Amino acid sequence: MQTHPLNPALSPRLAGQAQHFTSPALAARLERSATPYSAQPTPSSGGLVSQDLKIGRKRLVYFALLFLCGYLLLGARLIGLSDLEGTRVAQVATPPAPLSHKRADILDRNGAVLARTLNRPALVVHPRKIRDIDEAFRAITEVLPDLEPAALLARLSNTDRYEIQIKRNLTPDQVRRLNAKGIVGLDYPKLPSREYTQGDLFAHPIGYTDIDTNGMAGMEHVFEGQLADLNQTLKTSLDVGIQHIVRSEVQAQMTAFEAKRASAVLMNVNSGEILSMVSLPSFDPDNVGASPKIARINAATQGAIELGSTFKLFTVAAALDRGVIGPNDTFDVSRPLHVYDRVISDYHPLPGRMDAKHILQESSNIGAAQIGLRLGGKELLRFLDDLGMLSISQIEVLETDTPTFPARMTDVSTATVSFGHGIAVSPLHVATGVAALANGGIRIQPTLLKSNEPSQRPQGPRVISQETSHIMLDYMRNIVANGTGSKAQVESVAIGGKTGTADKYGSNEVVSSFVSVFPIDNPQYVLYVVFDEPKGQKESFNYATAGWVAAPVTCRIINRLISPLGIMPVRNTDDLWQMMQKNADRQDQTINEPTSCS
Amino acid sequence: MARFFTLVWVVLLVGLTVGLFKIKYSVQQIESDIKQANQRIAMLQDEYEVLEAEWQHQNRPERLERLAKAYLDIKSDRGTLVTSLRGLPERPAALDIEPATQVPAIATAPQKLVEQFQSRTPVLLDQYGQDGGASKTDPLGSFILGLED
Repeated sequence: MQTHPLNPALSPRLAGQAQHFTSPALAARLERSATPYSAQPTPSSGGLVSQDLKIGRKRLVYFALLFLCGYLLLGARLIGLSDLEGTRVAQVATPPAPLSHKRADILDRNGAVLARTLNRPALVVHPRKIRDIDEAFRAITEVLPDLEPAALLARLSNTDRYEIQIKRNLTPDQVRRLNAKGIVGLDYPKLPSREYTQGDLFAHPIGYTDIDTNGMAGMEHVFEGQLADLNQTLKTSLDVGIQHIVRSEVQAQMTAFEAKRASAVLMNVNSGEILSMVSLPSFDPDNVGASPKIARINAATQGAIELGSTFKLFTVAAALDRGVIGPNDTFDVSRPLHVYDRVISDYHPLPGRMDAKHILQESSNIGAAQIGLRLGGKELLRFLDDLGMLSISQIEVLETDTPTFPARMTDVSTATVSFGHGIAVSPLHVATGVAALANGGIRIQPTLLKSNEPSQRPQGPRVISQETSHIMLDYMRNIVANGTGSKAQVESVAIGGKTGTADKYGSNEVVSSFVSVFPIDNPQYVLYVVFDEPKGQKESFNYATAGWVAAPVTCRIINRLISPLGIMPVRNTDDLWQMMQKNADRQDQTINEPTSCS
Repeated sequence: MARFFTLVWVVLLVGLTVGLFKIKYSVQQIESDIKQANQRIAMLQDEYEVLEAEWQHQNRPERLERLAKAYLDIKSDRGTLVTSLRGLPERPAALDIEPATQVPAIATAPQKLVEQFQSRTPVLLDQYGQDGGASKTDPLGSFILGLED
C-alpha cells in the first residue's frame, strides 16, 4: 500500500496513479514518494527522498537569506537616499540652464547696455491659409504703411511657399493691432535681433552684426567667440556720458569748420583704458548698408595720416632723453633751414635762437628739424618704434592701419619726420605715444576693455626717464599757457598739450589736431582730437589751423569732463603749476589771462 | 495567525500602490508646474531685457540733454562750480533761513496730470501685444516698444 508522505489520505490516489504510468522508472519514483516519510530509508541507509528534501530545504534557506540580504541592501540604500535634512533636494533642484542661448551683451564701463540681443516679433504669413488676400493686404498695409504694396501683394498670393517673412522687428503695438484684425494665416514668431541702445554713438568701436547676429566689425567681430559661443558679457572701458560729451563737441566743431571728418580718443595714461573713441561721420549700426563708405572707416584707429607738429613732442623727448640736447641748448630759427634741395621754413618767421621749450611753444619746424638732425634719423626712428608708432595698433578692433614711414632715413626724411611729415600714423598711435611721455615714461597698452583691477601705476616697458617725462609735461603746459595752444586753456584745470597742423600732400587742405594731457600736475588722461580738412571761417579769420580748430574744442570738452571724470578743479591753475615749478624760468611767469572757451 | 499576516501584507500592498500612484501624479504635476514656471521666467526675462534696453535707449545722454534744454531751467556745468565737501565754507552759527517760497512742480500740477504720471506703471506686452496700450502714453520716443517720438 502506497502512502502519501505527509497526508496519508492521499495515499490510495497516488498508488492508483502509479499504476497508470507505463514507464517503470517514473512509477518507481512515484512509488517512492508515496512511501511514508518515516518509512523511507535514511541516507545512511540509502534513502533518496530524505536526501532530496534536505537539499531542497537547504536551498530554500539559502535563497531566503540571499533575498533577505538583497532587501536589507535595498532598504539601506533607500534610507541612504532618503533626504532627511532636505539639503540634497536643494542641491539637485538647481535653477534650469538659460532657456535661450542668445548672444551676450556689450556694456560700458558703468554697466550701461550698449548692445543686446532681444527676441522681437516678426510678421510671417502663411499664404495657403489666408482666406481673403485683399482683406489681409488692407490690414497689413494699414498697420505697416511703409511696406511696398506690389511686393506685399505678390507675397500674399504666392501659394507655392508655405510661409514668407514679411517684416522683422515689429513693435508690440504693431503686433497687437495686426492681431486685433483677426486674420487667419498671420504669425508673429520671435526672432533674435541685435539692438544698439545708444544708436550710432559707439558705431565704430563696438561695430555691428549681420541679420543673423554674427559679429561683422569692431568689438562685435573681435569678440565673436566670447559673445556668441561662451555667452559671456563684454565690459568695455568706454563710457556713455563721456563719449557723448566728446562726440557732441567734436561734431559741433566739425560742422562749424566744415571738416571732411574728425576723430577723438580719450585715454587713461596709466591703465591705457580708452574712455571715448569718436569717429565722424558715423553710421547707423542697425542699417549699415545705408551709410557711405567713409562713414564706416574708424578714423581714430584706421585713418593713418600725417599728423604734423604733435610729432615735435616725440623728437624733443627723444633728444632730451638720449642726452643729445639739454634744456638750455639753443638753435637758430631765424633763417629757413636748407637740407639738400629742400627748404624748411616756419609758418611765422621767428627771431633769433630758441631752446627746445620755445621751439615747442612756437611750434618751429626749423628748430624741430635741427633737433631731429642732431639726434639722427636712426635714433629718431628707433624711439618712435619704442613708442609703438611704427607697428599696427594692438587694440581690440581689427579696423587698424599699418603706419607708413620712410624706409631710409636720409637727412631730408629725418628733418621732415622731426615735425611730423613723411610719417603717417593713426590718432590712436599719437595718443598712446603722448600717454607714455605723460605717465612718467612707460609705454602702455591701449585697450577698449575695462580692467578688473585698475593699476594706478602704468605697466609696460620704459621708453623715457621720469625726469624727461617731467620736463615734457612742463613744455606741454607752456605751449597751452604761452604758445600755439592757448585757446585750449581751461579755466579750472591745468592742462598741457601740443597743436598739430599738417599740410595734406598735393592739396591746399590741412589736418588740424590737438593732443592734451590733464590735469598736468598729476596726469590722468590724454585727449587727442583730429579734424581732417577743416575750412577757415570768418570767426577764425579764415584760419583752419590747430590753434583755431582743435584747441578750443579741447577746452570745451575738458571743461565738461571735469565732473564726470571726478577731477577736482583748482581756482587758479597757474598758481598751482608755479608752485610745482619753483625753479622754473622766471620769464615764463607772465601767464596769459585764462579765457573761458565756452 | 497566517491570515492576519496575509491581511497585513495586503493592506500594506494596497497602501503602497495608492501611495505610489499619488506620488507619481503629484511628481508629474510638480514637473509641469516647474516647466510652466521656467517658461514664465524666460518670458519675464525677455520682457525685462526689452525694458532694460528701452530704458537705456530712453536715457541716451543726447536725449536727456535735449529734454533738459527744453524743459529745465538749468545752466551748463562749469568746472569752477565743482568743489570738495571740505572746500565748502563753514555754515554761519545763526542762520536766518527763509522758508521755501517755491513749491515742487508736482504740487501745482493739475490733479489729472499727477494721477496720470503716478499711475504710469509699465505694462508688459505678451507675444500678441495684449496690454491695453498703457505704454503708449509716453510721448518721448522709443525704439523697441514703438512709442511715438
